[in-house]
Amino acid sequence: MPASTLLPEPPDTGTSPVLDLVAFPCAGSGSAALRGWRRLLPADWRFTPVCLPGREAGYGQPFAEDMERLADEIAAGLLARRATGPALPLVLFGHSMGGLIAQLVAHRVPARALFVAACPPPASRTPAEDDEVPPDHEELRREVAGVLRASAPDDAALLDELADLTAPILAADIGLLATYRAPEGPLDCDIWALYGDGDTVGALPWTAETTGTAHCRVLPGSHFFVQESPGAVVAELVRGLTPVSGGSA
Amino acid sequence: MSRPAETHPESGADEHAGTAPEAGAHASEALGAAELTPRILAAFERRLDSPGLGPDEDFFEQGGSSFTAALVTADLRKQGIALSIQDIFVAPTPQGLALRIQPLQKAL
Repeated sequence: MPASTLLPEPPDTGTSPVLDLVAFPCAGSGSAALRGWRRLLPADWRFTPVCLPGREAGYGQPFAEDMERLADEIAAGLLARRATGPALPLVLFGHSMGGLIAQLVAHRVPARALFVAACPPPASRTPAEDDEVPPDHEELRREVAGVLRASAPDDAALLDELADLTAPILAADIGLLATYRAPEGPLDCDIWALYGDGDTVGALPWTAETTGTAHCRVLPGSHFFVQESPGAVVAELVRGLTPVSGGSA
Repeated sequence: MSRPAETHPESGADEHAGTAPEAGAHASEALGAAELTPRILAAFERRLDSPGLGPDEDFFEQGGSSFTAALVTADLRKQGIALSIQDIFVAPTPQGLALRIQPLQKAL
């Protein structure tokens, strides 16, 4: 697949960029879930929300079926980008499944920092763990249907259309998640593990995954606090990265 | 940090350039991109609760989600405009979406 779809070229920051932030959304999402960060981030950070194959601009492309191969491909894209542009400090962020992809990429491309959100450390994962699926599908469906009916009463097929659009992506990503294998050995960059206080996953630091510092922060919100409170997540990034960005915030 | 609306030359793909947006309801003519863009822009602004968007601003960068995209789809269909939710994901700016869905439009 063309790298331009997977790693869209970030827009010109207008000023000299001080770091390169690459963010991976949770399962079932595309880059749209994180694109709103552009309004929140410091103007001199380059920002690339990754769009996994088969969705959004890549609609119709085959889904990624192997997380190692996907990480290889993303790493190759990042290395190619760094070969032609400034060698900015690379910071990787990933939400839930995206955190695991970000970790695999950090094992392939030297990163200054890794942020994982709603993503417990690999050693605490069980093979069958399925933290990407909302706990009660039917309840969620009823809730979405209720709001859609109230907001768009004339369009009865809207819920089915929305479900048909998102369900194949979620199913593909759950399949992708099953191919994750914890990488050998630790990273050497600092790792921030961010959690929602209302999530069912335990707030554990990624201590075993790095020889650097493993930070752990708990923010208000559910498993989806990244979407619920983007400002709070960006504030954690800005605070944690001040030494890297030179205090640009 | 929303950019000021820019003016764009009429797209070459639009056969009805120059027609006033309101005139799109001509009984025998399908809406062209020039008529679609302001309607899409208005739907984006309404569902994002964000007046003053430009025709080249990205729906998702401005805070849109798959859910709000569904609502925009419903708003536009109510005006007789044919599109799918997926179209907004593929072409997330008012101008880009207008060009993408223009061939789908039938005479009103």
